[in-house]
Amino acid sequence: MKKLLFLLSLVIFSSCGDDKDAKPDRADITLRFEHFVGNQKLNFTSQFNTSAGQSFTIEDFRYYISNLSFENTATGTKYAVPNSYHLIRENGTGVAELVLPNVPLAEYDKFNFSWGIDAEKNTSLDQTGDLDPSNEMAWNWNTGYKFILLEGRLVPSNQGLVYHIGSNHNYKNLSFTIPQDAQLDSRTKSTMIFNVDILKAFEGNSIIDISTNNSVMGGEIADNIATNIGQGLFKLQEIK
Amino acid sequence: MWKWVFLLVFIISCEGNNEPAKLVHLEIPAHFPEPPAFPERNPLTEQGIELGRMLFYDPILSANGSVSCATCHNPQIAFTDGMPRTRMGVSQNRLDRHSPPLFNLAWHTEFFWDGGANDLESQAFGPLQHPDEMAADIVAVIEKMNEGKVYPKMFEKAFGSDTITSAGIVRALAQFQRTIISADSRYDRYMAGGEELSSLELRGLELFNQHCESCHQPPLFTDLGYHNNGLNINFSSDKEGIFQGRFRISQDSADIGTFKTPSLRNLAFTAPYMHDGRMRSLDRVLDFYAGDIKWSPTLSERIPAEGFGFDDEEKAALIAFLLSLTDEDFVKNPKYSKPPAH
Repeated sequence: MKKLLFLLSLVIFSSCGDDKDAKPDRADITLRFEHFVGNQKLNFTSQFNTSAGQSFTIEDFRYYISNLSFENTATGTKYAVPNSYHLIRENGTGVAELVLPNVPLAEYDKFNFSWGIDAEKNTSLDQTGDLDPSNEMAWNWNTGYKFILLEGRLVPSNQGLVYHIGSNHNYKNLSFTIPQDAQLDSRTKSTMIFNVDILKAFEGNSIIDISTNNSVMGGEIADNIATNIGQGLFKLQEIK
Repeated sequence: MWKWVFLLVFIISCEGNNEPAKLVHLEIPAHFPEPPAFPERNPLTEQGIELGRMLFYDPILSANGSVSCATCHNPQIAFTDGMPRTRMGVSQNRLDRHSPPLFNLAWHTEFFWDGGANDLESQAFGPLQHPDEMAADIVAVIEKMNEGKVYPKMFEKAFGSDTITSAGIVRALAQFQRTIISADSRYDRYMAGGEELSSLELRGLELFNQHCESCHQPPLFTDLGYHNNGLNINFSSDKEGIFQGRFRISQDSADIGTFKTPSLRNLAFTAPYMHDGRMRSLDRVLDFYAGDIKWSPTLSERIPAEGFGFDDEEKAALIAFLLSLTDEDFVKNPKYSKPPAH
């Protein structure tokens, strides 16, 4: 009995002990993806325009990011988020959030993630969590995942817009600089805000005319959109 | 106090007390090669196979509860459906390809007529989710499966947890399908010694070895490869390339119009023939190969554009031989049939 009490008290003491020092060494980091079409916040009801003046609406927008890591390029310190495959799904509010629990804090200068699913995971579908095919992001006749799904309609023709893109060669490693004055902590610097501008998928290295390429599920146009996505879809806007 | 602690320990160990699923070693027919390794994440087990067999015959997997895998893969006709392009799916729309027979899948590493699925586990999501096949909303299907007591219990036994997952469903289906083996035709017994083939069948075997064997390699009677066998001149890119065969997976123009070589075993059960079931009889198939080949740039080099020129005697001999590949016991094997209700 005494032994047990002693053990219990140990547990209690040890769990309290850490909090006293000023800086906790781990924090829950929130990734906040703010979805835009140009300067307009994304929703499922408004009309949007391409730079060329083509109007359209969006009805569904989701994408995978994977293999997240925080890095200090000077010291080589790196924290790789375990089992890191995340479906980011727009719900009509223009914002989607992902919380990374218990990230060990260090002086990171880079945050990395990849757009899409790496070739190793992209070869089978009997997977769970965000990779469960019930998320309707699996290609059902060509084993693998759609890295991005964007659906909507052209205005005024009401023709469908369907962009399902994702082949192994479309996978992109992306890296973002964490400014010196925006070091992550558990209170004032725990949310990383990304600006995600859908127009950048169509207006980058290649300009894609959505009225003539309104349905893209592979091939050269898909590769061009993927390149645009790699180059400019995601911008680290702010850390707060 | 210690009593409580012991009790707690006891409860915890009770919960984890289920016997692990019993590993099964697949029995390989003596004249077959070793199959390629199965995915490590899904070893064959007695309980997994039993669950897979149960699921294979259960229409609970379809949107309206009316279509099971067995609807289009009927064990009595070597797990196909006897139709060129079925309308037995949930939508009753005609499919664009013929339901392939299912046997000796343990030796295959790619699935569908264009090989787009990397393993049987991944393959299952195709028919499960296709709106013209089972049209399943997987979340709703799992909810329905959780309403009964049978499936949570079977999942517990097969995979150590009563939580039903889509991964568990397709893994169990894959396990069952890997056990479906057909290797006991008159031809097989002839090769093993102890069965005679008629002189007509032997003549057919000789012609087969000369003209057909390079793609329809024994003992599986398929090379598991993709070939354009001269069915069409044009291969439309409509419907996401479904008529373009392997090309829609590989995006290699050499693959336009190539489809996976089907096995020639059990042809007596598996009419109609070809990837779109366009040929009703073996007579028609032999007429086609004799002199009805359509040339296109990707036509297999093994097939002469003018056809093989078989005469009537040769056609009859080939058909006699092909029918010696019929495995009568396979279609009656109780191990593969619909399981008794649980």
